[in-house]
Amino acid sequence: MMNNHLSKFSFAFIFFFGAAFASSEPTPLKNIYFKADVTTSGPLYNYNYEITNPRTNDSNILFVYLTISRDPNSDQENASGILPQCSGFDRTTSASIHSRTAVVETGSSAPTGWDCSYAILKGNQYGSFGWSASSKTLLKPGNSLRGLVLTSYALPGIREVQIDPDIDIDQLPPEYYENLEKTETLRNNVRWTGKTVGPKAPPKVFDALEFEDYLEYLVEESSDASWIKDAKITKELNAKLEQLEKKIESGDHGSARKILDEFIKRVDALKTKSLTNEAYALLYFNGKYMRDHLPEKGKSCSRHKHVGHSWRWGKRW
Amino acid sequence: MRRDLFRGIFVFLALGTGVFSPVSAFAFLIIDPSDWNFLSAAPWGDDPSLVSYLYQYPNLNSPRIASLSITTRTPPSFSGGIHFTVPGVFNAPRGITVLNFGSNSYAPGNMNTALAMWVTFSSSTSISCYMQLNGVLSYPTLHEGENVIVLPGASTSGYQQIACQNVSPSDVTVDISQIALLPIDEPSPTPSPLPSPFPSPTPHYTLSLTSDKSSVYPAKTSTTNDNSNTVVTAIIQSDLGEDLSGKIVYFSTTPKVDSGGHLHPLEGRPMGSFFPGPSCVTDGSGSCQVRYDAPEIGGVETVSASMAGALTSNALDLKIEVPGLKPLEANPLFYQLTGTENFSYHPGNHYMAEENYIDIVAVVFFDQFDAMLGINDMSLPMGGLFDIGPGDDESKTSEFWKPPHSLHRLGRSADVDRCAKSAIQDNPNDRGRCSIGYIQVDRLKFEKICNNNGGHLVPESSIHCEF
Repeated sequence: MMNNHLSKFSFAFIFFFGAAFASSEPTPLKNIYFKADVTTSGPLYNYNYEITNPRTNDSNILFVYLTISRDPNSDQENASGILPQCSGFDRTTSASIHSRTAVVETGSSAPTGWDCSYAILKGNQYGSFGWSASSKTLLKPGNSLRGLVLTSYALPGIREVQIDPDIDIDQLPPEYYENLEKTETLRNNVRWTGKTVGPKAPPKVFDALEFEDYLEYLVEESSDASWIKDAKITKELNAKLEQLEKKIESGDHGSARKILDEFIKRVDALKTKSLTNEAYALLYFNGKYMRDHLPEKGKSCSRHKHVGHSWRWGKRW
Repeated sequence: MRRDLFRGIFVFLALGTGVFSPVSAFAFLIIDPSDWNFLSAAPWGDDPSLVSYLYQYPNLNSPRIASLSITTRTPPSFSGGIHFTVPGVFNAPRGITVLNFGSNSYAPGNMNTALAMWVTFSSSTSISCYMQLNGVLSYPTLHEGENVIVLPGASTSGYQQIACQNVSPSDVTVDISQIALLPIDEPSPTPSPLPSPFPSPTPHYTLSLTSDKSSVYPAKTSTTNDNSNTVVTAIIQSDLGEDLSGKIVYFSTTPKVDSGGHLHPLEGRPMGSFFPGPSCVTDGSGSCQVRYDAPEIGGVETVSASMAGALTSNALDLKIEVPGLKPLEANPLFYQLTGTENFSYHPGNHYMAEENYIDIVAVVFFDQFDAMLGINDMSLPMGGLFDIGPGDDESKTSEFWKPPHSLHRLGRSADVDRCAKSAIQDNPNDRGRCSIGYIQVDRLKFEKICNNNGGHLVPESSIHCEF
């Protein structure tokens, strides 16, 4: 039983790690630079991520996780077809994750020395996709890393990213010993979380007004994240979406499509100058998706009919 | 507990029953206290301070055999009567004291022999008695002051008795001023007129016991304290339909041996407790409640309740468990179950909750390293504190019923040995300082697998993945 190992407790620590309880706690990751760029190849979206661990940090980066959850009730099923994965892909865990929760199907690439896998993070019922370093490829302060890639049929959407430093639990002070609360508090304190753009399944049933509302939400979130660099641009895009809404409500889908074309064209024109890659990906590809799925003819309706349904369904993703 | 209550009876054996006063009309043979012959003294129950003293009159071969057995802490006094103290129910470890007094009704000469006793209890409300005559039970009411108990001759040969129990936590002193036998040639006595006022009929009580939950979480395993307690309700009923308010019900709890996977001595085992205390007073409907608070230990406890002043009790079994734990199935192709080689104190150390995916982690590890993880302590079958206790623990610091494991309570913990047994020869992975045939479990690589499957590492002597 454990007695056997307890008796070897001190021995084991010294045996393997030399300085038992060297009492070092990692410091929080700060000012992480995490950028997303989305390109297409046929029907596939390629999500390319770059991460920089500033020189001012003390900790090495071990894990990068992105939420890729899918609502099985309201989101489209995954497209069939096998997507290639990174060379260190953990197939067993990934199969287990698929059986436990609904996720967006993705392919992946990873930098040399990094592994990848679907994942469910502790305390989180939603699925994620993660990359992890080895002891030799930890992302040290002052370094950047490219090559974290997801490929998916799913549209760009706003996703959570979680970046964890390497915490050598064998070097934590004795008060952490079998102390779950303290260990979790430490993990929460040192990890970095933020928003990025990642694959998100479109809705099962396309509803023009709801999707227009979702575009408004994307503009709002992009503005809040400073992915839209100029408040005037936010105002301009919102004005365009308000016009779009009125046309949809009146059932004039022909005019709505023209407004969407103008919206897409304007977003494309603003690329790099006023929009980051994240804002561009969100607004351009979702705008195109809406234009492609907007029925030829619409019915006159008003937004209040949708209030009870899902006013901001984009937030559910 | 029922067994203990029965032991708590002090019994008067005689040939017939009845409670009457006065009885001076009969020509009794007064037994002088000094005529009782001491026969033996023997320890009683588990409490070494309790001794049963056995006396007989006049001798074993007499047709009028009477016997007297008193269980008490100090020998009874036979000066000017018979005097002794019956310890309180809750003062003795088992709460029990026994007094036997009787006559061998099987002896042919004893048929139709009567017996009378003059007895005073210091607190008659603390005493509960029943009498048995020809197999029929009745429940005498004790009077304040001196009680004169007359046991008419038995109509058939058989076991006749009066049994009395001290049901209060306090000591009760018993003074038997006189005991008398009816001479063998006397006719069977006719009961004398009943005292005035006529003693009211003795009610026969029953006690039922229920719990809001049949299972509660061990303490410190649930974020909601409510999950670790339950309301226990006692309901008193009487065959006479009397007012049932104000009855005192006492509660106690006893852990079942070996329950919860703790196959080691019970001594020191934390038990559940009652809030606001181990007793309650019934309302007009005869019911009252206490809250049972679970201990940290998983297992089964028998919760008992008894009514003060009556020979009625009941009990129920309560599970203290983290529900839904299942054993990790052995899979010798991919991992080894360890930690059970040297001890039998906690043989079921591989129980886990649904969200524990250590089996998947082990399979992934095997795929990547061609080595079998040694999966050590997880949780016990019913969860709760996973103690270790002494054994081959060289430090001798581990005690039963106490940490060092402070996790391992919910089925979400899994300890992994730092060396994994290689499944192939010449395994290219680092052996570190592990024995030949093993590889060292790389903390970072294991952590990755643990994390992806919903866990993370927590410092421990082995590698601890908490899901």
